[in-house]
Amino acid sequence: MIQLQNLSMCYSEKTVLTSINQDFELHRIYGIVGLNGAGKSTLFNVLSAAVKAQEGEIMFNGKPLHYTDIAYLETVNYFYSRITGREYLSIFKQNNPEFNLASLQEYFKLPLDELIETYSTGMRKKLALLGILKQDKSIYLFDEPFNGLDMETNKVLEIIIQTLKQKGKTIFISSHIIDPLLHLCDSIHYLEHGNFVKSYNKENFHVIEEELFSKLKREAQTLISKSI
Amino acid sequence: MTTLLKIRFYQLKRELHDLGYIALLLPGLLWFLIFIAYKNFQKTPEAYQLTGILFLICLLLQLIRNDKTFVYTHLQNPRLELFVEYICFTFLFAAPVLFTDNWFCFPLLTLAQFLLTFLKKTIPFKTRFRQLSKLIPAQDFEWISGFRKSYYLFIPLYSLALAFSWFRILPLALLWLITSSALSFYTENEDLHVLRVGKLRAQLFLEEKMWRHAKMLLLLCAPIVLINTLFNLEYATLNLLFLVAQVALLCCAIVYKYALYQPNTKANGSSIVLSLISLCALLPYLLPIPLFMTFYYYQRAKSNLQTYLT
Repeated sequence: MIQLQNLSMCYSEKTVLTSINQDFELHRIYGIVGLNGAGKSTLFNVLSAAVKAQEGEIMFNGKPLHYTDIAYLETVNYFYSRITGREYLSIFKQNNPEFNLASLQEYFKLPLDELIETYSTGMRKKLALLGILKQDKSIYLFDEPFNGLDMETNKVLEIIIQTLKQKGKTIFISSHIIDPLLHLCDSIHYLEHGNFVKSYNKENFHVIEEELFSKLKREAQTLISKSI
Repeated sequence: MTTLLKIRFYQLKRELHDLGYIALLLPGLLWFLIFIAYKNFQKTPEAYQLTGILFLICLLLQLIRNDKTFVYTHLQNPRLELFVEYICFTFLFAAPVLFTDNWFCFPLLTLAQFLLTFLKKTIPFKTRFRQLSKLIPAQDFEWISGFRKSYYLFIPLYSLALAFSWFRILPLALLWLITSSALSFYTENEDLHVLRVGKLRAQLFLEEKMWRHAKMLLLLCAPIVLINTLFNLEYATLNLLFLVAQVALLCCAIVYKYALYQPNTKANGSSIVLSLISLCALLPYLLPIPLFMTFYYYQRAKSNLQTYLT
């Protein structure tokens, strides 16, 4: 069980996460959705211990969550300059005995012996993904993983996420695009103003769009029809 | 004409702020270096050597600076901007020569600095040395990346140092230039995944990084210093002290980087401070300064890294 206990976080005077209390069962896939500024990335940064929460705790199986339990695929992937993709991957020890670079390369087709600076956004994301798959972690955080990937790699990523679940991993995915979450996730949680305001299980996924976006759709349609 | 100078001024201001109390040492250090420069400018051939070193530093800057495209594309008088920047950068150390019999070194240096601004060549962006990780472990990515950025300086400088390794001071000066440019390897931050790869705590992380990289630097310097010592036994102590100074500099650069470390960002522009510190390695009696700075920044680096490594 992963427990977020009274988790709060603010930048300067702006509160981004407000006393989140939420439990997550292990070995499941969770979708985290919300509008821009809802706190998704901050939540992931706190979960990955990239930033420290001002208040509250994150417990993993009754103990404080440690960064070594987490693999985190960020929205924007940052790499050290003038190193090749292969060198980047070599930095990580292979803790995952089943990780087979050659097989994954059949789909990813990365120019591993070229400098990472020459990679496109999608290629960088694939490389970062390979880096985290090489390590065996219990919890995987994917922040906007489908951004910048081509259709084929999007499908491969979905298969990877499902395989990780089958292997007993717990996965959190944040996304602006709700469609892939609908057939990947076991539950979807809606984040608003730094707190979870709604949660949906698989059986009521069909109401998500209607509940979350109907008001927005109506307002936008009226506004746009008057504007263009 | 003053755009670059303004940028440098703000960078310097920020770096001095980051330095904290250590900044109080800098005026004294500067005065001392100016005094040493004046003393050396009075003698021949020391005056020529010092002028050569000042020129080489400017050449190094012109070759490795990554804002060249910006300067030549967007500034109104790019050559003048660069020229004024180099003049200002070396002025405090070069001006004392005007009060000596070797005064002509100053206009010579100025002319050389002006000619430098015509050196627009940017090294083409290609993947070179693909097999470098067979020589340098991928964990030491700073050196892989750094070597790729400045191999065109490293290789000739190192070849020269090796070729003249039995000379008295020249190989050490060349090695010092190599170490000085190696300090720039530590002006970039790695991402959090890479930082955490060893699962080490802050103290152990810093100690291991300093130990690994010091070993690499010593391995690089060893053949030249060894040959130099064999041919100039009277310089054995100086050579040993030189090696200690190089390692102290390297450790200083490492702890300075991690004292300001923030994941997924380029490091703060620490090149000006590091350039000043690397000058300390030229003068053995200034060695305590990088040593003191290493100790000071080690504590700050440890405390900063604890945020990410606990």
